[in-house]
Amino acid sequence: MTSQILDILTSAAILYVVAAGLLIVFGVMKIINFAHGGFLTMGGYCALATADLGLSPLFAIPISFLFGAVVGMVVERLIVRPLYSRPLDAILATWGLGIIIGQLITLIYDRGVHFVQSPISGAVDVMGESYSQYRLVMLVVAILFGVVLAAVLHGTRLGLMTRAVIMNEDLARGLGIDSGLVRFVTFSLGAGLASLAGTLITPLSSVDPSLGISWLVNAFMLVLVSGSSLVSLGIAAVVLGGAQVLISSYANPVYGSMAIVILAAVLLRVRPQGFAND
Amino acid sequence: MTDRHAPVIATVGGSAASKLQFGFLAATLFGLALVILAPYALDTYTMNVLTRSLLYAILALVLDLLWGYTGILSYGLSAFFAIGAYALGLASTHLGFTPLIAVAAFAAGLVIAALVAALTGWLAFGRGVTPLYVSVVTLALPIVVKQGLLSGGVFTGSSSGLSGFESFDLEIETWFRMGGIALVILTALCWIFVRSDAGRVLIAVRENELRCRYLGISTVRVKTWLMIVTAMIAAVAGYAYAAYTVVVAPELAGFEFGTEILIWVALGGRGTLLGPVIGALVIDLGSAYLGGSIPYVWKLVVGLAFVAVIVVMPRGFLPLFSSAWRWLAATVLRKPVAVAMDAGLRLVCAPAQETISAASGAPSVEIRQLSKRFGSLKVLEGIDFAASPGELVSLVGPNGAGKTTMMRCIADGAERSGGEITITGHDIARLPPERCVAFGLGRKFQTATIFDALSVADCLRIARTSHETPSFVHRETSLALPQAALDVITATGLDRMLGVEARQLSHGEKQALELAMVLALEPSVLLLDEPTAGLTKSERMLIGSILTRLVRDHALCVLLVEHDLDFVREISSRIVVLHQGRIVLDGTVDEVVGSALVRDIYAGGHA
Amino acid sequence: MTPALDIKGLSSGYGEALVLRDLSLMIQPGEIFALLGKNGMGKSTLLKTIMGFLPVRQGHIQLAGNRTANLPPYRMARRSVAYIPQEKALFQDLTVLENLKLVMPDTAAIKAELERTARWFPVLQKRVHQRAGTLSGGEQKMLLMVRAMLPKQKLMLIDEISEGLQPSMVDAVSDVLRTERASRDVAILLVEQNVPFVSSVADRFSVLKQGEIVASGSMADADASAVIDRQLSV
Repeated sequence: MTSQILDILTSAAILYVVAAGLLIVFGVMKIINFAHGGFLTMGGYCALATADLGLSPLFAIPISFLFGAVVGMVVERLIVRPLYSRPLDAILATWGLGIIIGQLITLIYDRGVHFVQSPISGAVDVMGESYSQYRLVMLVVAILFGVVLAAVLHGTRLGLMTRAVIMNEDLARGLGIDSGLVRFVTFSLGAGLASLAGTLITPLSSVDPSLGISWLVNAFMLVLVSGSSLVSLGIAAVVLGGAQVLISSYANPVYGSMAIVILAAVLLRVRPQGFAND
Repeated sequence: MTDRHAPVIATVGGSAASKLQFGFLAATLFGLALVILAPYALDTYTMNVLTRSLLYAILALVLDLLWGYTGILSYGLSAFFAIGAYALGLASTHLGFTPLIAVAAFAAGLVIAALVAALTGWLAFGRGVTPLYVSVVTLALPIVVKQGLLSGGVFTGSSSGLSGFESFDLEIETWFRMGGIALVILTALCWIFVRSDAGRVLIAVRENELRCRYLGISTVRVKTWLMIVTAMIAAVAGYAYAAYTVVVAPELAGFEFGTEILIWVALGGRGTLLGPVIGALVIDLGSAYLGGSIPYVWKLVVGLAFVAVIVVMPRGFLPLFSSAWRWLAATVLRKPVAVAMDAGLRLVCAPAQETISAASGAPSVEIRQLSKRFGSLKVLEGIDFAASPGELVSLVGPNGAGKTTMMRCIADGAERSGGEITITGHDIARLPPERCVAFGLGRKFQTATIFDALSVADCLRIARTSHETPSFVHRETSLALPQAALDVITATGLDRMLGVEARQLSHGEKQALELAMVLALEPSVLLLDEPTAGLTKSERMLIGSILTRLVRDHALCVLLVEHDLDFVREISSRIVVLHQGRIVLDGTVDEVVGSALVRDIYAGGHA
Repeated sequence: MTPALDIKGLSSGYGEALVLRDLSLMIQPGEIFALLGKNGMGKSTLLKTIMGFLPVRQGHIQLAGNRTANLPPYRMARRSVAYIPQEKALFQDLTVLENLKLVMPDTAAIKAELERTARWFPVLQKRVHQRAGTLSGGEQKMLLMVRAMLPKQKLMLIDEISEGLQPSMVDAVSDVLRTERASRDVAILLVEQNVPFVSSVADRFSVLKQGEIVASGSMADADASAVIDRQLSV
């Protein structure tokens, strides 16, 4: 029982971390960034590169975030900006970008599967049951993600401007806010978070060029049912991630892997705003 | 339908049409000859690869119908391909291969694909869902199918799929020729279809779905049927693929493959049919050759080209080549190139029909206790109202009084929060706009809502879809319109511009075209939202005289929202004043104009 | 003296529809100018065009002598233009303080401005941490006024501020506007339908009909209200 609750919470935490970057890009820009999968993969390889250099795994965290953010800046300027008025084309172009990232990684690292040494391994005793230490760390990481993002959005001037752009972009522009700059910063932040998330999940899985794609679709579904709210994303991650864990353990892991996709599709049909409360 | 003796009002176009037909026939024959003769020139490896590419090209072709022509961005066509492929693979593996089983598997593949497509359409095109939702459903579909195949254990062969099952025993040349002939003929059929009157409906759905629905076209039905037909064609291609390669794997269903089809279509040129076919052939053949010699680089190049095309030239490569060819022909060869024109078209008058309301004797519109709330905000409350044939009622009132909201509630059963509305005696209940239109409603929007990419004649023909079922193979050479629509067209000079693309019209001409399209429905009740906004004085007077004549001569009932009170005073038979969601005055022009209440509402800015 | 706002031969509109045709007007620093007209005549379109939300189709706009053709709205705001749109003018889900912080990061300056304007709008000081959406209609208008005055802009564009406002608040708004003009030479363009309010506050006026100016004059003219009444009557 305890381990099942922990499974649900830690799975939700991992989903939250993986989807957060996609959510803030969607919230501000109303664009689905399908290169999110590519950015996740990039983060995984950042962890690998850091390990290859013989650096402590902790270095991978700032390195992958910065690398992702810089790539995000270039991508926003070259690819995303011309497509603001064509949101469906933006999905396709960013999907193509995901392919490009995947191929570049393959050219450098080949298609093989790599493993990165986890900085924290082994199990810990939780209420009489032993549980993976790293999964518990992910729980803390997810809470940190949520708290830091909320602090940025609610405690800084940039966050205030971002919220204003999300709520009413025209009004924000009329008050002197350069919404283009806000979009630029947001996209780069989203890319940085995706890359960081990719680094953080590597101890739980192997690193290969298709690392991101498997997460992309679930992240996409979670974001669509959450609107642009970090709180809704938390609820969605727990509910849909929980369904995934329960179906996997009581029915069949294959059905579990479809749970998020199917539940999201049905939920959005019945309630187009999903878990968002308007 | 068209009256043979009707006088011809206007004609347009002519000789270019026959030249185009000849070119089409020649191209089709050339294509057939090419695929029949090619095996003599190709080596076995190339032929082997190309046979597969030909089947992939069929997928690109039908995806172009969905995405390029109708605007449905689907990631899930691969799922239907896999359904067709697995139908044969499973049947042959588990039941053995006999002619009967081959036929039964073929039929089963078609039926399952059709059912899944119908379910997908029902999910994807529901009411109130966002445009992104189609992406959600078409992404979910291939994932579900692929996971289903993966979880099938021994039955589906799980991740390694099924292979080595018995299949049709044919020479490779025969497979190639069959695939080639199928592709050429299917391309030709699609070519005919998209240029037919029914094919124009697809473009109309892409260009402006709302307008289609207010012309009485059930866009949900159109899109769902298209989804079903394309799914069945994809399933046939999948069946052929399995029969030819005798390998089926879950990857065939995956959305990665589904997106690859999108890439072929985008690179070739969406909305051109030929472009996607060429795109699929070139890229798949390239993958087979270059994917082996320079691994990963080829896919990188395709990815780069894809992103560049989407960002810089969303119409793809084919239009680039064809305009380059035109330029070359015009400047270097000094040969004038015939630009495709509308086929010869005669404009005639449709026989007059008795309007619905004149037949039933019921009031044109009747509203009882209508209310509309947005959350706790009451926009309309306790509205009681009726109007009869031959009345021109203007709705006036300050901003936020609820005028446009009231129009919307009359035109769409799902809009109101409470109350009852009948149109020509029919309760609109919760019916969608296309059903309200069937009761005799016509609605013109505030901003001209037409089909930018279609010609004036095509816009008008789309408006007649509910009266004359459009042909799937050819273009009607005459366009029959009711007198009222003809009046608008001739008065505004649109009869001389039938072949012009609607986007090139001036603002006033667009407004007139939309009005003519709505009148082509032969409505009993006409809703007009600020028809004079942005028009010059002479255009306003013209619209005014047309409206009063419609009411007088055709016993139409017109409801008009208008800010220009001079205009209202001139043309109305009755004025209704709305203020803060309620009707505060309902009377003749003299009664309303002289009212102190109205002056207060307008000049004072307070109740 | 360089006019605060100088518009010559302006045409503008939505898509291909021209809503304004060949419109010219000029406002001096320290002047309150009222543009009157009924709904749908192009008043709000003019303000949106000045702010850069809509493209200038013909003609030109000068702010304090500088051309502003096709500057985006945020650049206009940074060039000392305060704009109060008629609808959706506040961030309902942000607090009063956050709404003000968007135009002025300095909390102390905000507190000072609320203090200064407290004699007209005393309630705002008590509501700084309340969400703007929970304010009454009148209180929201007060917040709009304070937000427009806070950054000390040179030109204020105000779209139907008096609509739905109770008479005592309308008086307060006219008082504020007159004080603003006197204290720092700000130019104010009011778009209005409320004739009594305009008469109490404006220096000059024009009447807009179908995108064209059909009458203009000074409020001091003896026949000013007669002209306006004639143009606005039903």
